[in-house]
This record gives sequence, C-alpha cells and structure tokens, in this order.
Amino acid sequence: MAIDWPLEVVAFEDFLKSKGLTCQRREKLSSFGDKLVQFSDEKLAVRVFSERAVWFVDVADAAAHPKEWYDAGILRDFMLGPATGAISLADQIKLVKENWPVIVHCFSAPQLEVTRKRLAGLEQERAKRLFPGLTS
Amino acid sequence: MTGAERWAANQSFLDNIISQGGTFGLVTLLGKVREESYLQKEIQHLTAHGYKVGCNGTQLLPAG
Repeated sequence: MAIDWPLEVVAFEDFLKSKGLTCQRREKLSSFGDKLVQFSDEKLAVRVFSERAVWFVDVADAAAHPKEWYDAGILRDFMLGPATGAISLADQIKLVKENWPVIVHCFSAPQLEVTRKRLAGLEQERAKRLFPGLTS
Repeated sequence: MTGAERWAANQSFLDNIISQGGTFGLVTLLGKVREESYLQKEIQHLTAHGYKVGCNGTQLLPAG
C-alpha cells in the first residue's frame, strides 16, 4: 500500500540524495500510523520520522555512533545559539539544509568528540529546563 | 484523532496508572527528550503528580 509523505519530506529526500546519501529505510511504523525515512553515507545519517503524528528530524554520526541521534532542536542550539520551543517540520528541514556544510564539518572525525561533548552539554541544559525537578 | 484527543486519551491512561501508584519505565535519557514531544508532556504530567526519577534513571516512581 502506498504511504503518503509530507511534501517537505519528499523534497528533503531529494536534497539528501544530492549530497550523496542513500535511503536506508522508508517505511510506515507499526504504531499510531507513524512513518520513518532514513538516509546515510559513510559519515552522516539523517532520519525524518513522526512520533504520534509529530514530525522530527535527527542527525547522527554514521561511522562511530550510529545510534546516537541528535534532534533539530539541539542542533539549532549548537549551531545558532540557545532557543526554546518547538520547530515545525519545515523549519527543521530548513535548518539542516541551510547548515549542511556546518553539520558535515562538525560531525567529521577531527571535530566529532568536541561536537559530541558540546551536544551532550546542551542536552543536559535542555533537560534541566524541561524537567527542573528531575535533574541535578 | 486530533492532537488534543490523542493527548486526552494518553493522559487518561497515565492518570489510571497514577491512581494505582504505578511506576513507569523510562527508556529515553532525559537529555534526549525532544521539546514539545508527547514524551515531554508525559514526563511533565507525571512530575506534576509527584513522580521522581529512580533506579538509575530508568524509572519514574511515585512520591513516597
């Protein structure tokens, strides 16, 4: 059965292909009618998925930490400075497309550990903000 | 089902377990919880009812 995808996602797939990434997964998930599409090359992985009808864009280092995904909100904080609030699917895609050279550079081997450390710090800061009673 | 309807059903499910003093598994690190996700709403709903992280961050436990 054909799966309907948002037009933004289809266009983003073309962008990822133009950067040399190939499609690894493109499927409807079993729960809540959610969907996932995942692209990667030997260095970077990008996935777009819906979680209970809310869409997210994630990036991972495909070589060393392929299961360690960073969402667009954290990437926004990392590349553009701290911000709060949800980002629409279109704006998540725009963030990745417009900052693609920066993402490629920051996830390259020489930069990777510095990037991971900074992203982990930003994740902790976000967790403290979202769940002030739960984090130390 | 709209987002509001989906959350209402979800909240009802959570409230039923809260009323029984149940615990919840936490398989996602708090730092990996996406802003405005359902998981964020669920955790905030539970903390509003006194739940705390326990078992090395793997569970949300009721107060007391």
